[in-house]
Amino acid sequence: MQETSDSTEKIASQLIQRMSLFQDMPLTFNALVVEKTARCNAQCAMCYQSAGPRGSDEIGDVEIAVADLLPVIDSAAHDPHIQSRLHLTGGEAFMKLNDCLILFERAKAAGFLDITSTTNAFWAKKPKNALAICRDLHSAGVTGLEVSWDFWHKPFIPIEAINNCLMAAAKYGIGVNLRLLTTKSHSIEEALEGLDQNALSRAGRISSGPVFPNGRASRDIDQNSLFKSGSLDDNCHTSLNLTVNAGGDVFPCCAGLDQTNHLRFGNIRTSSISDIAASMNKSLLIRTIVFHGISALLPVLARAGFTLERENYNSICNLCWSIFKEPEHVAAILAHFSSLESEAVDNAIAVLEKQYPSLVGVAG
Amino acid sequence: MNSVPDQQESISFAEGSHPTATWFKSLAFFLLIDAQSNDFVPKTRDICDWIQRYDEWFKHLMVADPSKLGLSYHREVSISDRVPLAMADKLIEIGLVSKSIGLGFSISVDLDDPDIDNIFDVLDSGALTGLGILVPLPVVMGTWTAEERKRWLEKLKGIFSRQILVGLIGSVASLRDMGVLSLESVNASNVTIYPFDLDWLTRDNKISYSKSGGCFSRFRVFVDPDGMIYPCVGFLTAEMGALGSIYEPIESTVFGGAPCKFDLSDLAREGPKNHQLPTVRRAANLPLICERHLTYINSIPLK
Repeated sequence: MQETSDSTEKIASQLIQRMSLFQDMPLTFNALVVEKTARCNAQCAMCYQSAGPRGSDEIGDVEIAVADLLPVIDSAAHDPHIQSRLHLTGGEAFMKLNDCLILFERAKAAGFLDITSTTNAFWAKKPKNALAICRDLHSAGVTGLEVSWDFWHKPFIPIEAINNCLMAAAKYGIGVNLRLLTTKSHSIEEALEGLDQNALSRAGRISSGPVFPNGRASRDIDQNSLFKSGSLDDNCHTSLNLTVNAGGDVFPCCAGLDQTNHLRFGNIRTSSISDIAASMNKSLLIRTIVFHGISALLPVLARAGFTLERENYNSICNLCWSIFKEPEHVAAILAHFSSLESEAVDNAIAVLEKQYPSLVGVAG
Repeated sequence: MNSVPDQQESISFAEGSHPTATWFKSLAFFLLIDAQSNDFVPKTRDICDWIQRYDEWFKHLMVADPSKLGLSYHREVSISDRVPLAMADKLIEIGLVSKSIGLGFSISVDLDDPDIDNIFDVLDSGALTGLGILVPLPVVMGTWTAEERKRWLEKLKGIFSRQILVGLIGSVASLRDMGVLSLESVNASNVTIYPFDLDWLTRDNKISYSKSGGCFSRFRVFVDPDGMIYPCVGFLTAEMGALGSIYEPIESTVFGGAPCKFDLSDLAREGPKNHQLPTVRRAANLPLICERHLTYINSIPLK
């Protein structure tokens, strides 16, 4: 009985805290993330972006031009709601290395303090190339690399490339975070097997987490092999990144929502990044997702006739992507939030009419 | 002896702040043990008071400019290096004070600690948000009996079962040798390994490293056992690198606008680059980039 009371108290306390954040906290982004291209030289089964040599299975063969990104970088560098980090990724952005160097240099000149990139290190097959490229990255202002490596990358990337990348990045003081993904069938041990210990000790960090079945992973990975990750009632307001996907569309994160097509906030080719971020900040829908958590949308969908069983989702990012990849889900959610906004306006007018009856009819 | 300013004294925010002050979101303490008083040095009370004063001051910076509210994310207090779990009650006190004002709290422990079972009290207290586990070098683990290895692994599994963010700090070779990286509980978690082995302190002596990048991403308020505060772990105990002390009002420190002996903004963007900066090792287990900076600085001929 006491346990139930404690639990109820905890839930109530969490709800009050979330409501307070929902009402007052501005959306804050840990970085500006630019997914420059949907193309990748690899085509991994667990890729949440579904990237491959012909682009993305989900959002197509799309890429953003450097010229479109330069004003985005300049603007984001001075936006107080975006922390001072630029992260460039793909697909595999380093397939057009010169474009990357131009963007890194621009980010440095614009004032970004932390300039990082995700890569699979395919360009480091030869030590000489690895050193030359890391030298150029260092000169362009790159402070860190996130190197994707695990069981699924092994068929596409030679292991020497990872070793060479680790050694060369260390020489130029570029911190490396070796990023691994796991399932019940494929472990951290398996990923590290064969890597040179000397090179491995130069990684600043090795980060590992369970695969979540978004994008290609939803089709090509045995769903029984997946680990659950966290609670579906978690929220994500501390993990946001203002993300420009390879189509130029802007999203509040780079963990799955950015790979959907039906919920639009704006495109960098037609709107400024700061205006898009500001409109996200005002969006009742986005504020609900990030502060109350994606599971807050389950009752909305249920009322519209879509029942999503919790046990089918292994993380909040998986649930979020699964909801927003379906156009009928998006339509139902948008209709709900649109009616909430209309209702709020009607209520506000009713209150005003009651308090200031002399104004009734004036506005009309 | 130093004394902490009276908590009742109000902080004078009129003194202003250093332009880079908001870059220092988190606090990291290097502590010693005072066996006589059974307390840390600095004392737990002084640590808790400083955490609260600094937090109040930092939050004022955020409130003064609402666009800075996002700086409240990902702030934490950490105790660097291994902490003795005989002092679990003190750790809980610091952790709960941190948590009460919205800061995370993390510590690093050695599973060989004779009081390691106390870690479960700390976990149960709800004070911890992250836990670092120090992994012994292969030469140490190589001397263990089968029973000792088994005991170490059981402790590790017990910690992973608690659903807390875990960092493994040490030799990847040791982790592999112990079979840690094949454990289901480890693979099911979000886990970060911080590789460290003794060799990289010496193996590259003949390699001339290029100048490393800036220190921004490693900026924290580092506090040494004397209560002196530093911007970066590589500066610890170097007098010229100190930004002030926890025993003085924050307005009197560099954060509060007092003059700094070096350019903090430049350190953030470019890293240390002149002979005013420390050129000798100040602490063991420095991050790799600090080792790079020391190597680089020592490689420049003195003018």
